[in-house]
Amino acid sequence: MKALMWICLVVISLLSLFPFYIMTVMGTHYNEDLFKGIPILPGSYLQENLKTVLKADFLHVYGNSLIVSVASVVLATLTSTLIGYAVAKFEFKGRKWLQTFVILTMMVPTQVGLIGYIIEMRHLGVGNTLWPVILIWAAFPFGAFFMIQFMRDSIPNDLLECARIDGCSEPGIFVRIVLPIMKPGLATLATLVFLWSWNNYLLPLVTINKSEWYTLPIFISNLGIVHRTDYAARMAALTMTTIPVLILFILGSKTFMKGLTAGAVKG
Amino acid sequence: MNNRKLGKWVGGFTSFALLAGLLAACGGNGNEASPSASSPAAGGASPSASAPADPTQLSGTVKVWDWDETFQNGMIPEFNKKYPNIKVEVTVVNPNDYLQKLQSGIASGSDVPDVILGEEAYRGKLFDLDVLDNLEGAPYNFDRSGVLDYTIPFISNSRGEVVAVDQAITPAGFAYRRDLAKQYWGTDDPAELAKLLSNWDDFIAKGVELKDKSDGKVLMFPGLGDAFLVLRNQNTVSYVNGSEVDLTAKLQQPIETLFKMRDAGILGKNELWTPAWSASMAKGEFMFYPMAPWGPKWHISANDPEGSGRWGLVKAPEVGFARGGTAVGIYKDSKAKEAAWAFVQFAYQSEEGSLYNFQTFGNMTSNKEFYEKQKALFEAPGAYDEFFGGQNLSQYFLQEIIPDMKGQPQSKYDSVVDGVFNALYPLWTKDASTTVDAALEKFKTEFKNKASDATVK
Repeated sequence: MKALMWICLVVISLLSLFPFYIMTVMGTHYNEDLFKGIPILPGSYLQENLKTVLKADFLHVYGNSLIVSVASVVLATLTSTLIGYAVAKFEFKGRKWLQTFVILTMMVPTQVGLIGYIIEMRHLGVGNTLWPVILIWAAFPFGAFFMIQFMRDSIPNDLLECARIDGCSEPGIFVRIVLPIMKPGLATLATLVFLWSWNNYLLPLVTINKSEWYTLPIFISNLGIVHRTDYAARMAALTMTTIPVLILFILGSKTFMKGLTAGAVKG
Repeated sequence: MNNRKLGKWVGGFTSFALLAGLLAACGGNGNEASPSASSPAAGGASPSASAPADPTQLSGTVKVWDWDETFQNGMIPEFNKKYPNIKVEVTVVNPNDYLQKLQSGIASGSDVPDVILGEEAYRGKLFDLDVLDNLEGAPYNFDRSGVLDYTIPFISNSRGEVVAVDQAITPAGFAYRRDLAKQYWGTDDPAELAKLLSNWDDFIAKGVELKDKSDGKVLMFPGLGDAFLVLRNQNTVSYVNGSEVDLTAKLQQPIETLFKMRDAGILGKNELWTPAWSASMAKGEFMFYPMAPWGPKWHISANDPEGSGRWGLVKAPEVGFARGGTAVGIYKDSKAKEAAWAFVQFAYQSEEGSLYNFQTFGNMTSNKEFYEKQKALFEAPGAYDEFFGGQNLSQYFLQEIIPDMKGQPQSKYDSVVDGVFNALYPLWTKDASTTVDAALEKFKTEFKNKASDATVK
């Protein structure tokens, strides 16, 4: 039985890792050779592909993407946690309404509000910069919803009451008591936001009109597009793009899993 | 007490939000340092179609969205030698995203380029948006008689106004395998082949001969997709009138010929742009590949790097056709129209620009005068002539293919036709029993699903 389980696990692992492997290997071949069949062994064209990628200002774009993703994570976790804390742990007028509103906004697809968002950004005077791609995370309904649920499940009201009785200030309670308990939730949300903003394509596509502010997904889709698509160079770039996300996930996988399954066994 | 503390919290957060907004606005001002273009009327000098009177008097910033950064990086310094006071800013935009990005830019009132490119796949839709200026009016005063006649429909909108110039001409013929032609038909000479394949019936007969002699190892085209793109583009009938779309006029004849070829067994089963299709060029399984002037570099030699000398170029049966092509227009609300036109005119129409364009990138201008003035240039061997067995490719395009070509009037439905065909031809390949009528009916139904506003005939 155990052997069967192991075989299953190995097969599933191989199946899910195979595309990553192929992506890496494809980045080491000459583009036209990719069409002759799926390459299994690494080729000798990696240097040329890297040259193509780096020649096109890859590092600068990488920097842009890092700025966007890190700023998005900070902004999204900050606002989501505050909203979550407020709605889950405080009684105030319009609380229910606020919660419904958060869920309602989750149901509106981003594409619908896109033009309005661009107009808003233009009036704020930040069109054609990195700001529109970052600021969208300031109002992140999923994050707020996630935090509301998480706070409700994992922070006992008694604990907060105790802190108040002991004379801790409200910001103090938030920073010293709530945040430490929230670590798994924060890590999960941070990973998700990082991933989503790192991979975001549509928003930077329509809001950024200057090559110097492009982020990785746009950059990669613009690599080698004249008359022939240089998939090999794209694969090399994709490999380099995927690595930080992979590292982030490996580092945070323990807390990430905890966050995702939080509340699963609670009544 | 709780409420009081909450109040503090709310206050704190509000001030944070305000501060963030303020910072955001500041950052934006710093980054939005693109000066709005200005083009002072240079001492009353009126710019003409050929070139503005004094290039140094024109100034401003021209924004261009292009996917070919290498082209712009080469062309802009050349342009600035003549127009030192015009700054050209390029944003790299993928042609697949171009229209979406442009439309959201226009809808939201944010950045829209002064120079807009329309690739074949969405050219008709772009013209239909009505965002390009009529180039025959002021300040451009473009003269349509100055460009090759067949290109006019490709650069005109549905009202017949010329709204763009060609980035490069794209007349097409067939790239063919010289070794196979010699082996099975006894000749690899383009002129003799053109005689053997003067119409589609002859083409099919020669195809059957080829198939029989090679025991079915060598066929004419890699798949239905290649054959159809030739047939469809040869039939340049104007099939769209407002929202009335006459698919029968546009497609019946091409599908009939296509199915004749399929039934004669002279077409392969490859789909366009698939790995097997690309690999077939080097393998010598098929005789012909439709090819425009951009083909030798990006298409044939890229997929058959060892194939130098074994390729040739011959015109298609009956009439030449266009393949690909990009139209370059100017945004009608541009604030730098004169500067933008100076750039477009220089890069794609002027003698200096066209010369640089041809010598550096192999792009051929649509400007007639250029070919008269630069005869020697085209008589000299080009970069890929050796690869094509020493055949002078540009001369062949200019003298054998272009003269009898006609242009296809552009419509927003072109891309729908393209999409429907790409979805259907794999089915026609698999199910060889599909008849012409059934195929056409299916085509119409699919077309209606995708373009519900159209009345289909």
